[in-house]
Amino acid sequence: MGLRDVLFGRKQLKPPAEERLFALTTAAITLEMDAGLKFGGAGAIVYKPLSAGEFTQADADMRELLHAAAKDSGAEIEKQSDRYGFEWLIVRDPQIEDVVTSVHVVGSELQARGFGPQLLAAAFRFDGGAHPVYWIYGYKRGAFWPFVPTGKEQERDNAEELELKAKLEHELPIEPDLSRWLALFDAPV
Amino acid sequence: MRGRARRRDAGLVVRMLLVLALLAATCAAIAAGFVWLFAVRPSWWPYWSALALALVVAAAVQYGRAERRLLGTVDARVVDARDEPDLHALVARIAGMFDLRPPRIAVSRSPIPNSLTVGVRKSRAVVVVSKGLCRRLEPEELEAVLAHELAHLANSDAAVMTLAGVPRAVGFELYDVATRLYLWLFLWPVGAVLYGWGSLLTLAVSRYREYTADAGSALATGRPAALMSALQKLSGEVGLIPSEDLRAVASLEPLFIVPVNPRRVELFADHPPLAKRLARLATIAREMGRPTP
Repeated sequence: MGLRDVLFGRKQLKPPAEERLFALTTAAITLEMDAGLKFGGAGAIVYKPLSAGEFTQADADMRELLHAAAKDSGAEIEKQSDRYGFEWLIVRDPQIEDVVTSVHVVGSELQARGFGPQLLAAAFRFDGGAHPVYWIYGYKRGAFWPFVPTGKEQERDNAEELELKAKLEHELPIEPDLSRWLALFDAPV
Repeated sequence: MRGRARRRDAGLVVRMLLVLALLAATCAAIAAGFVWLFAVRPSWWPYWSALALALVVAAAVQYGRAERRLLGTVDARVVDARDEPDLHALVARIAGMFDLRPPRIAVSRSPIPNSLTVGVRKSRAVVVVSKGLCRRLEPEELEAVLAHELAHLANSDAAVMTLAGVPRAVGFELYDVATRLYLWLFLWPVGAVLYGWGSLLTLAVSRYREYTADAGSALATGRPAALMSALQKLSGEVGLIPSEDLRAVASLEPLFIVPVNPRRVELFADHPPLAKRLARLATIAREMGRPTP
């Protein structure tokens, strides 16, 4: 944050950090071997829509692009709005590479059209433990963090999350500041 | 249309630079005043040093006490994610859009719908919302108000306002010290003038920061219209309540999202007039569809 921002306030949201999504595809192998977690066949990208024409157009174009790509790979695409006013684009495909690629396409398409600051996070589901495990990618941070909801209201399994962090630290860029490990309890994946 | 908005924004930046320059000049004048005192009556140096020290200590104590007292004054209690899961989730997501650590949240029992942010250091910040606010606003309006508060945090407004308040605080302390030490003729008028002048500058900075927080809210929610309707609702309701009830919170006034006691003359107000805030948001709404370059 520069002096300009301090004096005059930020005029724009922070743009996304350099994308490091693809690290997850190699980390998935370690996750399966060391933690017994298998990719759950679904991932999603979360972004904040703008209430204006040009964004709506970009949003529609991007989905069309995604649908066209999905036709070839056999992935299912679904769009949902949550009650906090964010849009979720959900990609269902058993191959983690395909899901990560689709999420990457959405992210870079929005960024190319100048709407990069609207990107919040991407979430990928893994199964095999006591609870579903989500790897969340924060666009502003350019890093991943684990999120393990126990299913009981707003509880998350911090022990499990820290263990996953320790196991994956060398393969994934993991957000070092624990207070920024955003929870997404209502993730529709 | 875009050109006009940019010109309007440039006008605000120029005004702000002017205010900052005046603030710096005022601080320099205060320092020069002390240098002058030392120069004119060098033999009184222990007296002048004591005065300078007293000013600094008094300002620091007052400031520290104020922050601690704030939450008590608005009768707010810090709530965790289990008490208010939705509020927490909402604040965490907006904080994510600003790339901020989620602040703590406190709920005040006040039925008056209003909201404020307390804390100079970002890591210790608390966003306070009143029960009335959660009840009266639609979800997207509540989101817009919270985003306005988080924009204040993202812009480090509490710290900026504290610095901008230095001449005002020095003026107040001079005035106060003068009254206590019977230095009426000499220090009292200096303190009073400095206090008045410092207040005008502080208020100008405060109004500017409100505009930028409104713009920040629009950016983070993507819906400037939601903040517009929230501001209209809040201004209407806050204005209807008799002001006697609100005297207790008058000192917190610049921190609220809408003023508790709106002033008629903009120069003396800590918030811009509602009409101007709405006009700016309307411009932002028209601009919004354009991608950031």
